[in-house]
Amino acid sequence: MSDHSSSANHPSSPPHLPGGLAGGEDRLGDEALLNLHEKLMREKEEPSEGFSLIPIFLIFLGCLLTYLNGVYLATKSGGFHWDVYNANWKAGEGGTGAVVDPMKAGERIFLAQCKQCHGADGMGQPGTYPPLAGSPWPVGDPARPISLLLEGMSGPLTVLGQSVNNSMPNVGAGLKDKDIAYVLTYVRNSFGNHADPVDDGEVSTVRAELGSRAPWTPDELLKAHPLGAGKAAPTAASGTAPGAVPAAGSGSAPAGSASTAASGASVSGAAPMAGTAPAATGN
Amino acid sequence: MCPFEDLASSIDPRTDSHQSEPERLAQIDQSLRGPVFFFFGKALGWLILASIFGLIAAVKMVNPEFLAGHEYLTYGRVFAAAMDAFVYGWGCQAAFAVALWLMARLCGTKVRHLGVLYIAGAFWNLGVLWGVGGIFLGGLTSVPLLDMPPQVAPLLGFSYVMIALWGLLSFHYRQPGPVYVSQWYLLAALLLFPWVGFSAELMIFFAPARGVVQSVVDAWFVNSLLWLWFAPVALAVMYYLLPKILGRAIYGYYLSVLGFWSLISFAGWAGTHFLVYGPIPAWLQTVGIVGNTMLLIPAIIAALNLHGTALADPKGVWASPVLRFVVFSSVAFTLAGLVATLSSREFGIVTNLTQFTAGNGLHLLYAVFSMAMFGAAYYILPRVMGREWPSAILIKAHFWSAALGISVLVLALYYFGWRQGVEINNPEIDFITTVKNTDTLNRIRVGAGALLLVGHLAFFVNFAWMAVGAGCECCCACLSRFGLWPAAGGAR
Amino acid sequence: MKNLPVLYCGILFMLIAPWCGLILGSNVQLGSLQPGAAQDGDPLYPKITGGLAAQGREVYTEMGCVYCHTQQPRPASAEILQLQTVKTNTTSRTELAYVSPDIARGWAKRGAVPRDYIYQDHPLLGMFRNGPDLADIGSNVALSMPTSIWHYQHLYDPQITSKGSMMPPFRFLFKMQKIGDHPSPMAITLPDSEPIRPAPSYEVVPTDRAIALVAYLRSLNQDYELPEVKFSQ
Repeated sequence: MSDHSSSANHPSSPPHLPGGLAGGEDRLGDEALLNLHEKLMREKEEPSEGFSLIPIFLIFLGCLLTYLNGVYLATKSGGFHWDVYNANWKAGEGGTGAVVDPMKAGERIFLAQCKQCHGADGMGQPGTYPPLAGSPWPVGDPARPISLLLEGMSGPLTVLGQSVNNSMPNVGAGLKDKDIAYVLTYVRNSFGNHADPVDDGEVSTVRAELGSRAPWTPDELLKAHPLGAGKAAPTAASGTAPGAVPAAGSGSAPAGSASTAASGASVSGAAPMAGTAPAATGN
Repeated sequence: MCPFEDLASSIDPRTDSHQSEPERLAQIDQSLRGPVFFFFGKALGWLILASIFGLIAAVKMVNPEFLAGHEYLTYGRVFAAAMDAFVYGWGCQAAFAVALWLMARLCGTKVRHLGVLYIAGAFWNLGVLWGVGGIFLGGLTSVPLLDMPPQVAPLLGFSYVMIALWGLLSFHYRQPGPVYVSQWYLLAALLLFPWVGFSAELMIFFAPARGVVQSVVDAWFVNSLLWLWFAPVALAVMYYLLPKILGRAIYGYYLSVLGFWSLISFAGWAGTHFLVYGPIPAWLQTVGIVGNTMLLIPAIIAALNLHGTALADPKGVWASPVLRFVVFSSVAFTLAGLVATLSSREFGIVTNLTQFTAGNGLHLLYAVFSMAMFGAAYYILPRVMGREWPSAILIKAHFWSAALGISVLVLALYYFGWRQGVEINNPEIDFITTVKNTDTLNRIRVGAGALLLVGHLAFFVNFAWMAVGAGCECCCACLSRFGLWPAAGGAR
Repeated sequence: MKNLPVLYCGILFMLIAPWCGLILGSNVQLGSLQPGAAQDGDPLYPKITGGLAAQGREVYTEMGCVYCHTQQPRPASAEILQLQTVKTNTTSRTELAYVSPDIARGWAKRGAVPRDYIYQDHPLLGMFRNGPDLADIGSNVALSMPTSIWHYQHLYDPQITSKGSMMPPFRFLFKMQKIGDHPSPMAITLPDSEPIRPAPSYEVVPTDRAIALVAYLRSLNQDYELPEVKFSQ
């Protein structure tokens, strides 16, 4: 009945002793006894186990799986930080947390810090605050706008035919490197501008080089970082002034090429106006 | 004599070793007759109820106006009730019956003081009834698989402790000799369930943790329930019935050891794979993925050990209705391990939060666990009741409707769930379109649900028929044990 | 296995270890999170939901909404590479870019993080998306104007606002009442196609539970930033 193909040297069932029913149990009737015996005889042996060796491929597979999973655990756990949600985070990356879109982040910073003077559409206020739209100042070599933000600027300049003589505070001193990078990326790719994005590495390099100094004058800044130079040729900046000029009375702004703007910036000799923080107006 | 010594000797379940093995096994079966019958009967009742609730929920997905007039039958409540009735009403009680019987058999111990088991079983059923009723009345907690009102938990906990204690006592007083693989699985399962249940209830309801920690606890609870409570009981059944009925030995002892330890070690960590891309830190998601991926090892070992044994005698497998269920379950277990391996982030971004998860849950709960329990029931019940199954046709009907129904259902959930995930991830596709595209799946769900219900009814009718036949004997024996009926001359 | 102590200790260790690692670990890291602000001086988020919205959460729980709706918008994923139309000021080009599907759908402005759920009794994260993600539905102004009529109509019969939806109708959260001197300001207007309508001189009015539920839905928003997560896309 039972197939004794199992390895015999590992009995799993305890040895049974011959004998009838144990004493103390009720006596069974004849018919019931036959019934019971029939069922008992059908009952097979309790199961047992063979002793085949573990196949080699399984050991290899196990080791391979353990290794791969170990690597995965070590590299994709975000350093086991509670606030890292992106598996591809690497230690030392700027900020833990979700992937950030620089344009969105930059727009938010612009609206918070820059809009009051330069306008939500980057057109500035003619005569008071220079426009950013189509301006050659933020585009091109990123070191220029970075330096401007970090130290501020004061003095007369002409942008796109508009002359202003005002003071810009060093808003960058209070911003983190990545925030400066975001807002500059935003400005350089909005209002008709088109230039390479800025990353926070460049910002920290410039910050380290400059240290702390008095605000720039426009000539100083242009000497350090001339307009038109840099990674991306400011294609849009050479174009016409964008769209409808909102401020009345500003007159038609003649097409200001890079060189015109550069030559137009002149130090009139007036002492830079100190103090009045443009950001304070209109708040 | 000291009353404690009296108690100890009265609990001592060791059987008399001056007996032949078949006689001893028969005695053990007889001693467990009442509880096994009781647990299986109640479990079957809950299975029918759960199937009906599940079918109602499936129909509601095709036609939202179906039974929509009353708040007691709104979809959310019916779905939660179906899940909990299936898990706690059918699943746990079938597991109790099988665990008690298998542990007693393998340890060679008789079970005494059955009254405790009857009381525990009655309390368990009362608890589940109260819980499922509470769900319909609006007391559901909306925590997956812990939907029953938390007041029910102490009742269920108390019943469980009584039942598990009897299982552990059997083990403690076992016959000398090595411990078979099924016993390891049962031991692990019996020790795990109260731990996860207690922790989950404590940290979610009675001393709630803050925010998503509860979600992590729930994910750990659900996964542990599936892989460390239901799957080990199913594996214990497979490791016992397959070699026993075929008369062959399990392929490899060392493989069984490796399979056991790999399942127990890794499954506990795999819970958070449900929350990949959810609001938890990256490391928790990665740990869940790693734990889940390592489940390939126990799946392959089950394949080698169990399928190897089954393939040595395929005719024997087919000839035995019990083994048809058991082998189906073992194949499903291997496949479940393979599906678990596919839990990387690339996969999870598509499949999480879709019907794929539902398919995975049903795969483990039904295709692995319930099929093994069906097989076990068809083996155990004749032996404890002392009668044969009255109808072979009903058994065949049950097998075919269950096997076909669950295969179609799980495969459809996987396929359409995957498609749903791909569509949801494509923002060009309107969300309402993704919903409309699941219509085919919902209709398949209704059809498969109806088929499964038919199978369960076949099982229930067969069981009731056998019970009625044994009823007179059983009642007399039961009552005479309590001295309420004169002992008859029939076999006990 | 003959060595029983090893078996027992092994089993117990394998049960306790994941609990310590996953549960205790997450509790240590996330169990005492406090509200935060993205920048110094910003208000602290998340805010505690109280009053009518808290009652509404009870209704949401009672109805089992969590089995069709999730509240966990997924963050930008490095694994989803999709063809996306990237517009700049001067060009519009199609390129492969990493996207977050949920954010691209407009379900949220950023992925959800643990801190968003610290004030919820039981975070209703959900498991299935038979319906859209609701974590940020409160900030969807179109749905909330003018008097949340969209939400009430949607609850009364989802086919009114979302034809083809699988959501069951929740008419039992409304009552028919006789129109008094003036129609109630809370009365719901129903389109002619709606089969179950009030009798003449009757109007459909939301019960307290419906009002609470809609208040809860309008309170659901993740429209704020936190130090560990910023808006994206």
